[in-house]
Amino acid sequence: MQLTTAEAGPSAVCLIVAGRLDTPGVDEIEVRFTQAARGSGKHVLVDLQNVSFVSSMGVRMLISTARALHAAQRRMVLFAPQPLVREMLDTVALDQIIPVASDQPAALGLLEG
Amino acid sequence: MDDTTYDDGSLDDRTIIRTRPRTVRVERQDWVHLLVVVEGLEPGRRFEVGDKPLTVGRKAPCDVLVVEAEVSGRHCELRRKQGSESLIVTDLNSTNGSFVDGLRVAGSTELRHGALLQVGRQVMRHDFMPRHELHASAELDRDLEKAGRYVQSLLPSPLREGPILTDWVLQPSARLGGDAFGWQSLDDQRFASYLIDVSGHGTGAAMHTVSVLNVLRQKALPDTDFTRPEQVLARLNDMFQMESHAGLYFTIWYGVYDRGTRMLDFGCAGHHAGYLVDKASGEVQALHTRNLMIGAMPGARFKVDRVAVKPNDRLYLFSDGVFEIVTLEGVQWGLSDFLPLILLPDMPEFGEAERLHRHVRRVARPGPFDDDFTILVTTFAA
Repeated sequence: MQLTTAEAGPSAVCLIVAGRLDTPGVDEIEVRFTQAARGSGKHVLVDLQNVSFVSSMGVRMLISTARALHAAQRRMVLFAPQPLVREMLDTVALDQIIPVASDQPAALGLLEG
Repeated sequence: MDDTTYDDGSLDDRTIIRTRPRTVRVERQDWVHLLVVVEGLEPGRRFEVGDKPLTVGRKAPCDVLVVEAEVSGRHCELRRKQGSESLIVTDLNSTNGSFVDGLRVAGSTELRHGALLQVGRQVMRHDFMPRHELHASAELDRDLEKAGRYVQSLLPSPLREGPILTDWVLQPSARLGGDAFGWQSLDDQRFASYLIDVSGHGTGAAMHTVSVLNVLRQKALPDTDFTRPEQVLARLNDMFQMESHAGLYFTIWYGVYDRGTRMLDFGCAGHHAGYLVDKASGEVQALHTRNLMIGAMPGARFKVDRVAVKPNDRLYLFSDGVFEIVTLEGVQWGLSDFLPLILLPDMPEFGEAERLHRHVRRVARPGPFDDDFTILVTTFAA
């Protein structure tokens, strides 16, 4: 499981995740993911285009990080999920608490909206 | 005299530069090689590989007896490798082969620490550990076994006769899992059934599952009409918010069947569809309502729906561990890969839930499933 960070404009940072967000994958990156999100001081975009699978533990990591950001008046938006991942996120209706966009520009648009 | 201490006993504060590391001798004399059953007849059972080779096969006097038709009488042998943390596995010209991490053994091969050996449907992991850890681990195993038996005792026995029949399989991916299910008659006419999947698996998830299951079994939700799925989901959500439960959430499919009207009211919270199937005609209806999982958002409202049930229709409820498998070829499955299996013919020698379990087991890579596997099949007989 890989995690890298990139700037996404003056008010947002992009966390780029790659691999399987299953239990071992979450164990591998959860601390860094949470630190990168909370420590950025900005809104957070999460790039899922190279994530092949998300388990319930992966969803849990996303929700708990989004909640921590919300407490600091910041937002999280996910974007570019692969079809299987999009299906999973749709089943759990995650977009009711964390927006999901098709690509980075759309994700930035949701932050500004 | 330590080289950082002066004659008067005071300590030199300077760091000593060492050009070569001190020699560290790790004594491995009291370490043991174990084969631990991770899937098969007795998960958790351990076999020690000592000085003599350990034989695996269908017949005595093999040390590890795997009584399956596809296992040869003397199937394979394991022995220690001098000065190594690995074992050597030798296939004894078995008919169907021995497999190490999914690869068939040709002659002999290494079995490293953590690698999986498969013989028939028995999958065993090689553990190399200090003997004192073995004792501690055995004690923990006994506690986990007791906990596992307690969880199993909360699950209802299948209904084999009457107007509503049930069949199920529940296989945790770890010693304890986060899946559970249940059913109960709410009155003379109405019958509730549900399947729960707590995020993750293991002890924490199992404890949360037990809490939820007991609340449902005892109908211990305040101001709740259990014949109304939207109320049950909303009250569960009030009671089990993530912040108050170690960050855990769960998904649930909850339905109430009325035998008088033959209508099924249902709601899902973060759960994929249940499937109402008429096998004779091949008709499959996906029963799904799109709602957030339980515990993610305070005050969430839950949509429900209703469907008519014909005589002998079957309701298939299952957790995502049933279809989120990785196949022998390394391909990630999804729901659409599993669904066609539902319409395959019944097999009279197995219950319907076990039939599906065996199908998935054949397709999946060796070793435990990545997530808990639960199927509940309910038949609404005439």
